Amino acid sequence: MNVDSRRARFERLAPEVIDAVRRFLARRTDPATADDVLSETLLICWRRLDEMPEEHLPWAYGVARNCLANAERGHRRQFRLFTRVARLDPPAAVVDGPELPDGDLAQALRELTIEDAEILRLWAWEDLPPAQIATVLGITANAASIRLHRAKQKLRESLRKTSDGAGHEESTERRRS
Amino acid sequence: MTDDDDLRELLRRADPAATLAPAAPDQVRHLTEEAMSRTHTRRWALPVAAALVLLAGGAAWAMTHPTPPEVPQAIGTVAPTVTLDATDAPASCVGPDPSWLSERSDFAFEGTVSKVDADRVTLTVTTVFRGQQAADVQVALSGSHSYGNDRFEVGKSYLVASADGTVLICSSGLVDGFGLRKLYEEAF
Repeated sequence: MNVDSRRARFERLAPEVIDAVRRFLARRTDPATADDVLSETLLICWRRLDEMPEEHLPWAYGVARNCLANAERGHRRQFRLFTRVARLDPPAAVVDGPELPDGDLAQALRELTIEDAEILRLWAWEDLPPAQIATVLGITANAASIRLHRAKQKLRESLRKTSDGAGHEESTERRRS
Repeated sequence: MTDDDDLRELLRRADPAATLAPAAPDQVRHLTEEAMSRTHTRRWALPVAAALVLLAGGAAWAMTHPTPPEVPQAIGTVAPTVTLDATDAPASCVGPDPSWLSERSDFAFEGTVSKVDADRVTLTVTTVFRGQQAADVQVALSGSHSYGNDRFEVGKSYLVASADGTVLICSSGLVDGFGLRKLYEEAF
Protein backbone atom coordinates (compact mmCIF):
# COMPACT_ATOMS: atom_id res chain seq x y z
CA MET A 1 0.00 0.00 0.00
CA ASN A 2 1.56 3.31 -0.98
CA VAL A 3 1.58 6.41 1.19
CA ASP A 4 -1.35 8.05 -0.58
CA SER A 5 -3.61 5.03 -0.31
CA ARG A 6 -2.61 4.58 3.33
CA ARG A 7 -3.53 8.17 4.05
CA ALA A 8 -6.80 7.82 2.17
CA ARG A 9 -7.76 4.71 4.10
CA PHE A 10 -6.82 6.25 7.44
CA GLU A 11 -8.73 9.44 6.71
CA ARG A 12 -11.75 7.34 5.81
CA LEU A 13 -11.59 5.26 9.00
CA ALA A 14 -10.47 7.90 11.46
CA PRO A 15 -13.77 9.72 12.18
CA GLU A 16 -15.52 6.51 13.19
CA VAL A 17 -12.54 5.29 15.20
CA ILE A 18 -12.18 8.64 16.96
CA ASP A 19 -15.84 8.73 17.90
CA ALA A 20 -15.90 5.15 19.17
CA VAL A 21 -12.59 5.30 21.04
CA ARG A 22 -13.49 8.63 22.66
CA ARG A 23 -16.57 6.98 24.09
CA PHE A 24 -14.64 3.87 25.05
CA LEU A 25 -12.16 5.99 27.00
CA ALA A 26 -14.76 8.31 28.55
CA ARG A 27 -16.27 5.21 30.11
CA ARG A 28 -13.02 4.08 31.63
CA THR A 29 -10.79 6.97 32.61
CA ASP A 30 -10.55 10.69 33.33
CA PRO A 31 -10.78 13.25 30.50
CA ALA A 32 -7.08 14.21 30.47
CA THR A 33 -5.93 10.60 30.27
CA ALA A 34 -8.60 9.92 27.67
CA ASP A 35 -7.20 12.68 25.44
CA ASP A 36 -3.65 11.35 25.71
CA VAL A 37 -4.67 7.77 25.12
CA LEU A 38 -6.88 8.66 22.17
CA SER A 39 -3.97 10.41 20.53
CA GLU A 40 -1.67 7.47 21.18
CA THR A 41 -4.27 5.01 19.95
CA LEU A 42 -4.61 6.87 16.67
CA LEU A 43 -0.86 6.89 16.21
CA ILE A 44 -0.75 3.11 16.66
CA CYS A 45 -3.68 2.69 14.28
CA TRP A 46 -1.82 4.75 11.68
CA ARG A 47 1.41 2.83 12.18
CA ARG A 48 -0.28 -0.53 12.03
CA LEU A 49 -2.89 0.32 9.47
CA ASP A 50 -1.89 -2.63 7.32
CA GLU A 51 -2.78 -4.98 10.17
CA MET A 52 -6.12 -3.35 10.82
CA PRO A 53 -8.92 -5.70 9.76
CA GLU A 54 -12.01 -4.61 7.86
CA GLU A 55 -13.94 -4.91 11.09
CA HIS A 56 -11.73 -2.23 12.54
CA LEU A 57 -13.51 -0.99 15.66
CA PRO A 58 -12.94 -4.02 17.92
CA TRP A 59 -9.30 -3.98 16.84
CA ALA A 60 -9.06 -0.27 17.65
CA TYR A 61 -10.68 -0.87 21.04
CA GLY A 62 -8.02 -3.48 21.70
CA VAL A 63 -5.29 -0.95 20.88
CA ALA A 64 -6.95 1.67 23.09
CA ARG A 65 -7.25 -0.82 25.91
CA ASN A 66 -3.51 -1.55 25.78
CA CYS A 67 -2.63 2.13 25.53
CA LEU A 68 -4.85 2.87 28.52
CA ALA A 69 -3.22 0.10 30.53
CA ASN A 70 0.20 1.59 29.69
CA ALA A 71 -0.96 5.06 30.69
CA GLU A 72 -2.35 3.77 33.96
CA ARG A 73 0.91 1.97 34.69
CA GLY A 74 2.70 5.28 34.17
CA HIS A 75 0.29 7.04 36.48
CA ARG A 76 0.82 4.42 39.12
CA ARG A 77 4.58 4.84 38.90
CA GLN A 78 4.21 8.58 39.40
CA PHE A 79 1.76 7.99 42.19
CA ARG A 80 4.21 5.74 44.00
CA LEU A 81 6.92 8.34 43.65
CA PHE A 82 4.96 11.16 45.20
CA THR A 83 2.80 9.54 47.79
CA ARG A 84 3.05 7.00 50.51
CA VAL A 85 -0.51 5.90 50.34
CA ALA A 86 -0.64 2.17 50.43
CA ARG A 87 -2.69 0.46 47.80
CA LEU A 88 -4.40 -2.67 48.98
CA ASP A 89 -5.48 -3.82 45.55
CA PRO A 90 -2.97 -5.11 43.04
CA PRO A 91 -2.57 -3.05 39.88
CA ALA A 92 -5.34 -3.71 37.43
CA ALA A 93 -4.95 -4.08 33.69
CA VAL A 94 -7.86 -1.75 33.16
CA VAL A 95 -8.99 0.74 35.76
CA ASP A 96 -12.51 1.05 37.03
CA GLY A 97 -14.53 3.55 35.09
CA PRO A 98 -16.03 6.81 36.26
CA GLU A 99 -18.58 6.75 39.02
CA LEU A 100 -21.91 5.45 37.82
CA PRO A 101 -25.18 7.21 38.59
CA ASP A 102 -26.85 3.98 39.62
CA GLY A 103 -25.42 3.16 43.04
CA ASP A 104 -26.75 -0.38 43.15
CA LEU A 105 -25.39 -1.15 39.72
CA ALA A 106 -22.05 0.43 40.57
CA GLN A 107 -21.86 -1.67 43.72
CA ALA A 108 -22.87 -4.80 41.83
CA LEU A 109 -20.17 -4.19 39.21
CA ARG A 110 -17.58 -3.67 41.92
CA GLU A 111 -18.49 -7.08 43.27
CA LEU A 112 -17.40 -8.63 39.99
CA THR A 113 -13.88 -9.37 38.92
CA ILE A 114 -12.25 -6.71 36.74
CA GLU A 115 -12.42 -9.08 33.78
CA ASP A 116 -16.13 -9.79 34.25
CA ALA A 117 -16.98 -6.10 34.61
CA GLU A 118 -15.00 -5.24 31.49
CA ILE A 119 -16.65 -7.90 29.37
CA LEU A 120 -20.06 -6.57 30.44
CA ARG A 121 -19.04 -3.01 29.53
CA LEU A 122 -17.92 -4.17 26.09
CA TRP A 123 -21.20 -5.99 25.63
CA ALA A 124 -23.55 -3.28 26.89
CA TRP A 125 -21.72 -0.02 26.26
CA GLU A 126 -19.69 -0.77 23.17
CA ASP A 127 -22.52 -3.01 21.95
CA LEU A 128 -20.20 -5.78 20.86
CA PRO A 129 -21.16 -9.40 20.22
CA PRO A 130 -18.91 -12.14 21.70
CA ALA A 131 -16.84 -12.53 18.52
CA GLN A 132 -15.88 -8.84 18.59
CA ILE A 133 -15.34 -8.86 22.35
CA ALA A 134 -12.89 -11.66 21.63
CA THR A 135 -10.95 -9.38 19.28
CA VAL A 136 -10.73 -6.64 21.89
CA LEU A 137 -9.55 -8.95 24.63
CA GLY A 138 -7.35 -11.17 22.47
CA ILE A 139 -9.20 -14.36 23.34
CA THR A 140 -11.19 -16.86 21.29
CA ALA A 141 -14.80 -16.18 20.39
CA ASN A 142 -15.83 -19.27 22.29
CA ALA A 143 -14.05 -18.10 25.43
CA ALA A 144 -15.62 -14.66 25.09
CA SER A 145 -19.07 -16.20 24.74
CA ILE A 146 -18.62 -18.34 27.85
CA ARG A 147 -17.14 -15.51 29.90
CA LEU A 148 -19.90 -13.13 28.86
CA HIS A 149 -22.56 -15.63 29.83
CA ARG A 150 -20.98 -16.15 33.23
CA ALA A 151 -20.44 -12.45 33.77
CA LYS A 152 -24.14 -11.77 33.14
CA GLN A 153 -25.07 -14.44 35.65
CA LYS A 154 -22.70 -13.00 38.21
CA LEU A 155 -24.03 -9.48 37.70
CA ARG A 156 -27.61 -10.64 38.13
CA GLU A 157 -26.64 -12.47 41.28
CA SER A 158 -24.70 -9.48 42.52
CA LEU A 159 -27.63 -7.15 41.80
CA ARG A 160 -29.97 -9.46 43.70
CA LYS A 161 -27.67 -9.46 46.70
CA THR A 162 -27.23 -5.70 46.52
CA SER A 163 -30.98 -5.10 46.34
CA ASP A 164 -31.58 -7.53 49.20
CA GLY A 165 -29.68 -5.15 51.42
CA ALA A 166 -26.21 -4.78 52.71
CA GLY A 167 -26.79 -7.04 55.68
CA HIS A 168 -25.04 -10.03 54.22
CA GLU A 169 -21.38 -10.12 55.01
CA GLU A 170 -20.55 -12.25 52.02
CA SER A 171 -22.17 -9.87 49.55
CA THR A 172 -19.74 -7.11 50.40
CA GLU A 173 -16.71 -9.23 49.89
CA ARG A 174 -14.77 -8.28 46.79
CA ARG A 175 -14.26 -11.26 44.62
CA ARG A 176 -11.23 -10.48 42.62
CA SER A 177 -9.61 -13.45 40.98
CA MET B 1 -37.83 -8.34 26.69
CA THR B 2 -35.45 -11.09 27.72
CA ASP B 3 -33.38 -11.06 30.88
CA ASP B 4 -30.41 -10.15 28.71
CA ASP B 5 -32.23 -7.18 27.25
CA ASP B 6 -33.16 -5.96 30.72
CA LEU B 7 -29.63 -6.33 31.94
CA ARG B 8 -28.18 -4.54 28.96
CA GLU B 9 -30.71 -1.73 29.29
CA LEU B 10 -29.84 -1.35 32.96
CA LEU B 11 -26.18 -1.03 32.07
CA ARG B 12 -26.84 1.35 29.21
CA ARG B 13 -28.76 3.72 31.43
CA ALA B 14 -25.57 4.05 33.46
CA ASP B 15 -23.32 4.59 30.43
CA PRO B 16 -20.93 7.45 31.34
CA ALA B 17 -20.50 8.28 27.63
CA ALA B 18 -24.21 8.61 26.93
CA THR B 19 -24.06 12.37 27.23
CA LEU B 20 -20.69 12.77 25.54
CA ALA B 21 -20.99 15.22 22.65
CA PRO B 22 -19.55 14.07 19.33
CA ALA B 23 -16.10 15.34 18.49
CA ALA B 24 -16.15 18.54 16.47
CA PRO B 25 -15.17 18.08 12.80
CA ASP B 26 -12.15 20.32 13.35
CA GLN B 27 -11.03 18.17 16.24
CA VAL B 28 -11.42 15.02 14.15
CA ARG B 29 -9.36 16.54 11.35
CA HIS B 30 -6.71 17.69 13.79
CA LEU B 31 -6.44 14.29 15.48
CA THR B 32 -6.30 12.51 12.15
CA GLU B 33 -3.60 14.74 10.75
CA GLU B 34 -1.65 14.63 13.99
CA ALA B 35 -1.55 10.84 13.93
CA MET B 36 -0.27 10.78 10.36
CA SER B 37 2.37 13.44 10.77
CA ARG B 38 3.19 13.81 14.40
CA THR B 39 6.73 13.59 15.60
CA HIS B 40 6.82 10.79 18.06
CA THR B 41 6.40 11.83 21.66
CA ARG B 42 8.53 9.26 23.35
CA ARG B 43 9.54 11.79 25.87
CA TRP B 44 12.97 10.49 26.69
CA ALA B 45 13.91 10.77 23.07
CA LEU B 46 12.79 14.27 22.33
CA PRO B 47 15.86 16.00 23.73
CA VAL B 48 17.97 13.41 21.99
CA ALA B 49 16.45 14.10 18.61
CA ALA B 50 19.40 15.51 16.88
CA ALA B 51 22.38 14.91 14.72
CA LEU B 52 24.38 11.83 15.57
CA VAL B 53 28.09 11.89 15.18
CA LEU B 54 29.63 8.53 15.54
CA LEU B 55 33.16 8.28 16.83
CA ALA B 56 34.93 4.97 16.59
CA GLY B 57 37.91 4.47 18.83
CA GLY B 58 38.40 8.16 19.22
CA ALA B 59 38.35 8.81 15.51
CA ALA B 60 35.37 10.46 13.99
CA TRP B 61 33.17 8.07 12.16
CA ALA B 62 30.58 9.81 10.13
CA MET B 63 27.26 8.14 9.73
CA THR B 64 26.20 10.18 6.83
CA HIS B 65 27.25 7.45 4.42
CA PRO B 66 24.91 4.52 4.68
CA THR B 67 26.75 1.30 5.28
CA PRO B 68 25.61 -1.91 3.64
CA PRO B 69 23.15 -3.73 5.85
CA GLU B 70 24.04 -6.86 7.75
CA VAL B 71 27.79 -6.52 7.29
CA PRO B 72 29.39 -7.13 10.66
CA GLN B 73 33.06 -6.46 11.17
CA ALA B 74 35.49 -9.31 10.88
CA ILE B 75 35.70 -11.61 13.83
CA GLY B 76 38.40 -10.49 16.19
CA THR B 77 38.02 -6.83 15.47
CA VAL B 78 37.45 -4.84 18.62
CA ALA B 79 33.98 -3.40 18.45
CA PRO B 80 34.19 0.34 18.90
CA THR B 81 32.31 2.60 21.18
CA VAL B 82 29.91 4.72 19.23
CA THR B 83 29.15 8.18 20.46
CA LEU B 84 25.85 9.74 19.61
CA ASP B 85 26.04 13.46 19.97
CA ALA B 86 22.63 14.96 20.41
CA THR B 87 22.08 18.60 19.76
CA ASP B 88 18.92 20.61 19.78
CA ALA B 89 18.25 20.02 16.14
CA PRO B 90 14.61 19.15 15.62
CA ALA B 91 13.71 15.66 14.53
CA SER B 92 10.99 14.68 12.18
CA CYS B 93 9.76 11.56 10.57
CA VAL B 94 6.66 10.33 8.93
CA GLY B 95 4.85 7.04 9.35
CA PRO B 96 7.36 4.60 10.81
CA ASP B 97 6.17 1.60 8.87
CA PRO B 98 8.69 -1.23 8.35
CA SER B 99 9.41 -0.56 4.70
CA TRP B 100 9.95 3.13 5.43
CA LEU B 101 12.25 2.33 8.33
CA SER B 102 14.21 -0.19 6.28
CA GLU B 103 14.63 2.22 3.43
CA ARG B 104 15.48 5.24 5.54
CA SER B 105 17.73 4.02 8.33
CA ASP B 106 21.43 3.45 8.01
CA PHE B 107 22.08 2.51 11.62
CA ALA B 108 19.88 0.59 14.01
CA PHE B 109 20.59 -1.27 17.20
CA GLU B 110 19.18 -2.65 20.40
CA GLY B 111 20.94 -1.74 23.59
CA THR B 112 20.54 -1.74 27.33
CA VAL B 113 21.22 1.40 29.33
CA SER B 114 24.25 0.70 31.50
CA LYS B 115 24.92 4.18 32.80
CA VAL B 116 23.15 7.49 33.07
CA ASP B 117 25.35 10.52 33.62
CA ALA B 118 24.50 14.18 33.75
CA ASP B 119 25.37 14.78 30.13
CA ARG B 120 25.26 11.37 28.53
CA VAL B 121 23.70 7.96 28.58
CA THR B 122 25.60 4.79 27.80
CA LEU B 123 23.92 1.83 26.18
CA THR B 124 25.51 -1.57 25.89
CA VAL B 125 24.71 -2.86 22.45
CA THR B 126 23.08 -6.25 22.33
CA THR B 127 22.26 -6.36 18.63
CA VAL B 128 23.15 -4.24 15.66
CA PHE B 129 20.50 -4.59 13.03
CA ARG B 130 22.15 -2.31 10.54
CA GLY B 131 25.40 -0.44 10.27
CA GLN B 132 28.75 -0.87 11.91
CA GLN B 133 29.14 -3.15 14.87
CA ALA B 134 29.53 -1.40 18.19
CA ALA B 135 29.99 -2.53 21.77
CA ASP B 136 28.62 0.59 23.39
CA VAL B 137 26.72 3.62 22.29
CA GLN B 138 26.95 6.83 24.17
CA VAL B 139 24.24 9.36 23.74
CA ALA B 140 25.65 12.75 24.57
CA LEU B 141 22.83 15.03 25.55
CA SER B 142 22.59 18.74 25.26
CA GLY B 143 19.91 21.36 25.70
CA SER B 144 17.08 20.31 27.95
CA HIS B 145 18.62 16.95 28.60
CA SER B 146 17.72 16.77 32.26
CA TYR B 147 14.27 15.71 31.23
CA GLY B 148 15.74 13.19 28.89
CA ASN B 149 17.87 11.70 31.61
CA ASP B 150 14.77 10.89 33.54
CA ARG B 151 13.55 8.85 30.65
CA PHE B 152 16.62 6.70 30.29
CA GLU B 153 16.58 4.07 32.96
CA VAL B 154 19.49 1.83 33.76
CA GLY B 155 18.78 -1.76 32.92
CA LYS B 156 16.08 -1.04 30.39
CA SER B 157 16.47 -1.88 26.73
CA TYR B 158 15.91 0.45 23.81
CA LEU B 159 15.67 0.17 20.07
CA VAL B 160 17.30 3.06 18.29
CA ALA B 161 17.53 3.82 14.58
CA SER B 162 19.13 6.71 12.82
CA ALA B 163 19.55 8.05 9.33
CA ASP B 164 21.89 10.60 7.89
CA GLY B 165 23.06 11.41 11.37
CA THR B 166 19.61 11.96 12.81
CA VAL B 167 17.73 9.79 15.26
CA LEU B 168 14.50 8.46 13.82
CA ILE B 169 12.38 9.42 16.74
CA CYS B 170 9.25 7.73 15.44
CA SER B 171 11.14 4.47 15.33
CA SER B 172 13.16 4.59 18.52
CA GLY B 173 12.29 3.96 22.11
CA LEU B 174 11.81 1.33 24.73
CA VAL B 175 11.96 -2.21 23.42
CA ASP B 176 8.62 -2.96 25.00
CA GLY B 177 7.11 0.20 23.55
CA PHE B 178 4.16 0.16 21.24
CA GLY B 179 4.87 -2.37 18.55
CA LEU B 180 8.49 -1.33 18.24
CA ARG B 181 9.90 -4.86 18.39
CA LYS B 182 7.62 -5.97 15.61
CA LEU B 183 8.52 -2.90 13.59
CA TYR B 184 12.22 -3.75 13.81
CA GLU B 185 11.66 -7.41 13.06
CA GLU B 186 9.82 -6.49 9.92
CA ALA B 187 12.18 -3.73 8.88
CA PHE B 188 15.47 -5.57 9.37
